Amino acid sequence: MKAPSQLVLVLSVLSLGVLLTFTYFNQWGELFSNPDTVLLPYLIFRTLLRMLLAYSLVILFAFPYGIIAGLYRRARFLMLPLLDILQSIPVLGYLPAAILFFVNILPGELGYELASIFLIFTGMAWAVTFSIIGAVRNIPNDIREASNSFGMRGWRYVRHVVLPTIFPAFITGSVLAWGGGWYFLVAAELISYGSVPHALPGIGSYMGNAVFSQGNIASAIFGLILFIAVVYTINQTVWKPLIAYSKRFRIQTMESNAAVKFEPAEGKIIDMFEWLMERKGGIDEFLARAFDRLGAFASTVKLPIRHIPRRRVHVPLPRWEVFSIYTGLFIGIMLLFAFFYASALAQQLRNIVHSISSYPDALNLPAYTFFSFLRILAAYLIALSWTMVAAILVTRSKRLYDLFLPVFDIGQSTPALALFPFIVVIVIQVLGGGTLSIEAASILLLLTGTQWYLLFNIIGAIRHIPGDVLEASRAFGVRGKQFYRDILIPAIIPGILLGSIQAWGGAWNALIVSEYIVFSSNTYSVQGLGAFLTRATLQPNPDPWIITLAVATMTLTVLLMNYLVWRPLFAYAEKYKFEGT
Amino acid sequence: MAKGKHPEIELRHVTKEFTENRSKGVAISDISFQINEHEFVCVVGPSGCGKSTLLRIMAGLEFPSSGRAIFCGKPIAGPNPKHSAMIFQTFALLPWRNVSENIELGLQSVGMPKQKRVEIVNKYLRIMDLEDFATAYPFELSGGMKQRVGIARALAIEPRVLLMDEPFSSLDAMTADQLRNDVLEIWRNPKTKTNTFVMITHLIEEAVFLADRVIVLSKRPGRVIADIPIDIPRPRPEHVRSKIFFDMCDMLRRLISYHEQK
Repeated sequence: MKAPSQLVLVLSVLSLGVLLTFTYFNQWGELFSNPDTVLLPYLIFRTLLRMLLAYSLVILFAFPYGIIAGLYRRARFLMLPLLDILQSIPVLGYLPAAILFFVNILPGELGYELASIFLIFTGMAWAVTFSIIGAVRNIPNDIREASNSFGMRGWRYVRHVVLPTIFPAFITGSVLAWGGGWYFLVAAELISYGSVPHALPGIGSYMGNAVFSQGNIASAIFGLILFIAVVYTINQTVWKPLIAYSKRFRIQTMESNAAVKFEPAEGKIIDMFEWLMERKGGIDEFLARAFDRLGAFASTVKLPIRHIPRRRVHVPLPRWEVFSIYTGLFIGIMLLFAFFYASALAQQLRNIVHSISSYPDALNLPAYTFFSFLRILAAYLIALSWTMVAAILVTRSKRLYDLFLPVFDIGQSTPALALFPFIVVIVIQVLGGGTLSIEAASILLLLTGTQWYLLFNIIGAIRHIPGDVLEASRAFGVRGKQFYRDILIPAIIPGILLGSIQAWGGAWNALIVSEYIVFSSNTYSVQGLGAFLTRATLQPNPDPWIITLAVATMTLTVLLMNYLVWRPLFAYAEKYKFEGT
Repeated sequence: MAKGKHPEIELRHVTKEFTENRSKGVAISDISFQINEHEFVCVVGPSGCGKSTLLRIMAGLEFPSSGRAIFCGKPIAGPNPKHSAMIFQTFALLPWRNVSENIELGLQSVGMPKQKRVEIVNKYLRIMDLEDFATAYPFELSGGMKQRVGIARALAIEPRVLLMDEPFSSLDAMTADQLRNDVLEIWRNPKTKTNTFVMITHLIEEAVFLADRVIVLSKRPGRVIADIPIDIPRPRPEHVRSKIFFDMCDMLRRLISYHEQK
């Protein structure tokens, strides 16, 4: 099905569905009893504006940071660990800092708006930056050497070679980033800090209000469907074409019989960029000089470390140096956070020991972390099971694939946070209000932040199995169980791993909102790290050290998992990669 | 089914159509020929003439749109390791298996017990001169070695026919030369059960060097332009610089260009 007609079809089905069910259940009255309903077009506009502003900031940050870190080895030495730590801090770990900082500087609506934009920024920025760094570092050696020998260095190299080459990676990173942004939209627009949540005009807060404070189910459902429609439309009309457009920037290596294909960097975006460079000739000159100075600086700066040889060979840095850099940066950032919290709360940073003794719950942090970890593990295993089966089934026939992909697309676009209340209500109805049901609800909520990463990565991996390997296995009679055991599953191991890393990242982020749920003036919470953090921020006099401790614990756990689990697994999975991937 | 009664492979008026981007095309049209036991047949033709499709029909990986593909008197119903094994231009090795484990792929799918598999794998490691690399992984091997593994894997299941899809075009000239000679040795070796070879290539010199017969295909839709016995005596390396060799190559070239101009 072609994209535009698929979009129209889906939207029509959704509208028709809404029309019919709302009329049948006579919900229009309740819907319009919500005063904000008529404002929905404006609210959607505000939301999009907010996302766009955040995204512009992401671009302004990610490109310089990513390109510099990608090009200069010495810069990378510090910039990569810094980015790693920033990425490991769960999005909602920035929430207290964002609010306290911005609202204090600019009290009132503008402050909250900025805090919201900053929050969305932190949900988007790291994915895009990492994509850019990866792409810069993956520019083929021969292109690098050719550019250098033709005098394309510094800014010229960036502008004429690097930028077009990294464009596809930038787009895929952006798609991931926007997905993350949508996921947290409700939390970003309905800033609940302190007893009274502050709502910013937008569709996220519309949904949140409908559920949390008004209990207006009709509005909630209507808002949710509208939200899904908006996200889905953007996916189809913006990202899909951009991804197709970005394919022309891919550098294709020579295959034995085919001619060399290098798609020149053309197209509207490049034209706009060129126009800008030409009109404002000064910018181009300025950037060229700035880059030259940067390059000169980079080669002379003396870092307090051993001399790094200028070889292209990857020399792994000695462990203790990496460890000390991470430790130093980590402690530095956490202290900065603590300082932010304290100054914004207009409190003194008292002795940390004193803080802990007045808030003894803090001693349970290791236990809470362990429980949260188990919860994520349960959600992950459930997600892995169903996504593997679904991915294998879906990729078997083209028809099934075409049919289900939009379904999965929509599933991924659905902001999980908006589903929370429904899930909680349903689970509590079914299982009673006891601990078991809340744990179940919690795990279900974690699933929503986890499963799509796995599903799409596994589907992608299956589709990327080289055709000749599939042919060979057929030709040699490999069928049935043996095919799955010996061919399919080993082939998708790198994809499962990548999906798992993203899934766990999503799960840590979802933890904060899935362990402490407020619904129609009832509070449901489990024993875990996320609940602890939320509780600590909801205290009448929040203690900056306690909040910092919670954020630090979560960040540290993510970093440790990275180092102890993901990195070794990545090394092991190398042997499953097909050549050229 | 007595050997020698039926040709190993027979194609009768085989046509294959395909759809690409919603437009229909014909890959090969009305192809008929026979491959007899003990023959080494090369199919040559320009790029895109459907040679690969033809080979896959013979392998049972694809089916003709019309016409019949027959193996030893019976219609080809699908890939059958006892009948034919294929060697790929891009090697198609499993990256997570070492050389020995790659060779035993076809043996595992017929459920052969481990001890027997080990014996056979070792035999073909020796034949293909891969003994020192038994536990190496594909990424550690050069292109030539990878193709040796591909050949070993195919021979290990002892099929009647070996089908080769431009097996040397991803290799450098010297390695390809070496492997060509190795392939001829295997073909001549009475101890290996596989003695009928079908190879597709776009290099005329290669076809004349290796084959008993050369079948020439036109450009798409591929048709048989010629089916010519190569009367140059063996061993061929002695005649590679002789007039008859070049005359044969020239004749094939003229055939192809004549057909292109038509």
